[in-house]
Amino acid sequence: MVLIKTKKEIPSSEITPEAVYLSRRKFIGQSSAAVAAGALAQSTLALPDSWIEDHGYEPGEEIGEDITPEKHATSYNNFFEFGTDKGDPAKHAHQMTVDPWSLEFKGLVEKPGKLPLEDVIKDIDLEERIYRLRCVEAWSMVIPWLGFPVKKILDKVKPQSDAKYVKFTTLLRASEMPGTKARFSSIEYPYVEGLRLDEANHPLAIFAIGMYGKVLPNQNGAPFRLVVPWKYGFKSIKSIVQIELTRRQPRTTWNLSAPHEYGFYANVNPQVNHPRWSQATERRLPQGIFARSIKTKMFNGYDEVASLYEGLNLKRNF
Amino acid sequence: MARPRLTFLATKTAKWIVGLLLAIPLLLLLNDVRIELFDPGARLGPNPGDILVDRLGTWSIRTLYLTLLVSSISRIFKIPVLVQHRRTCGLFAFTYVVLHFTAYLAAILGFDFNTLLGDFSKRPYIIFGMIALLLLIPLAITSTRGWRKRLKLNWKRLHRLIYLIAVLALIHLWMQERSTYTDTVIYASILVLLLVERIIHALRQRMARSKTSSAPS
Repeated sequence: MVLIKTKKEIPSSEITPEAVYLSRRKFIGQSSAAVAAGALAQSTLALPDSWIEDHGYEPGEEIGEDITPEKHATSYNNFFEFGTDKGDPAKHAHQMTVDPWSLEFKGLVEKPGKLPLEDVIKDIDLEERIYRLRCVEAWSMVIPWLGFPVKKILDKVKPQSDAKYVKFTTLLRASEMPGTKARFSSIEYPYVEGLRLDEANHPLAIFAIGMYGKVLPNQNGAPFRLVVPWKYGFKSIKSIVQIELTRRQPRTTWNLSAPHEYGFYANVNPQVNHPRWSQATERRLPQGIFARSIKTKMFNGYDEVASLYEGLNLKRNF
Repeated sequence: MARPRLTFLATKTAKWIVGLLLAIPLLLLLNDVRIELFDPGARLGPNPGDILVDRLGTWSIRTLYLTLLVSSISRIFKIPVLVQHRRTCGLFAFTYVVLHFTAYLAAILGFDFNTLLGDFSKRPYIIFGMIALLLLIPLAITSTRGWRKRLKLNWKRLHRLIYLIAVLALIHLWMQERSTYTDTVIYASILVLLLVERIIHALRQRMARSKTSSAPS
């Protein structure tokens, strides 16, 4: 199965012999096992920061809003596989092995199969996208992602004509994910999210492999995640291992857990009430204790996606 | 007479120590808030308002359930003097609940009372929390010795409201749990154990009473 079109010849001097490459991986695996805590966690990444440096990227367009300081974006996270406190992912996600990492493509695609992440993305141009991220918990950040449109990957695997939805699945490895062992859990793992195929093909929908000019930290969904800026953050699924094209709407994690709270679409919409948090306003983080919240915009301010939903009642299909 | 060390528990010093212990979480939190005002994000992270409300809520339910536990523990371990500290616990529970609500008003709502009214209808867990808070007010007011004497038997009846408050607080918590029900299960178990202990205690008392009354004269 040939998935990857090589754009330009890579000089043979730049190709690491497989033996060296494998032993390097082994070394990295061992050293990270030896050093349990955070300091060396970055060393387990499938894509080193140098990969991004070598590859280069188009700098993102400023959006006239302050970028959230990196320390906040990497320490205040929802990644329940590592615990439910905001600080848990930063504390525990270093346990997740992200090298090697494979992506499996299945379902209604012309080219199904399982590929190493490096092979999937090696010939794709990186772009920086500065996006607002609006969490359903009524807070938001502005994050400079590094990635590429979802469409670029979908075009490679070629969805069949009857494919209507894309289903994404997060890694589930209980030994490295303490949160998945929680008792009395109301959500099931692996975490699953989905998009309509036309939503996934929208140019704003991207896969990210980095942020702030570096590879993704594990707590932010390393090594490969979705970013859909006009939807609530839980749609932007992290640490993806499987992408499946389907005919029917996938059954997504939060929607299954509490369908009256979390719809399949989950478009940012200040007019749709939520039984936990008012969605009319949001806290732009970092925010002082007694600072005022800002008004939430329809589609998180990304009006260009409105045409995707023409004729759809967004109050019912929330 | 057998346990001289326990008499310390009856002293004023002991009361101060209990009060101080219960105030520690509040003092730490106030210190965090103080630092936050000068150096945002330093202690409570990028979303300090949510964290503040959350922590005050956690200590509200902890102190509330501790208040209920005091009498059970004093009976189980036969340390009647412990009951003297129940009022301190209860007043701290009240303090934490009031601060929890105030922080919600100030940090989450920005004192926007229209949103508060909207929250009552749209976010029902807030109603349960509010009723619990309102019910705590008469208990806090009548917690003094003077009121206790004035109300006589009614005082005990009035203060049984604490069971209702504990249930309301539990519902308030349960409705906000998202991915795991661990906390709800823990507090619900404590509540069940407390009630079982009280039922056993009441049955024993009744049996003892009926024994004395039916004794041959």
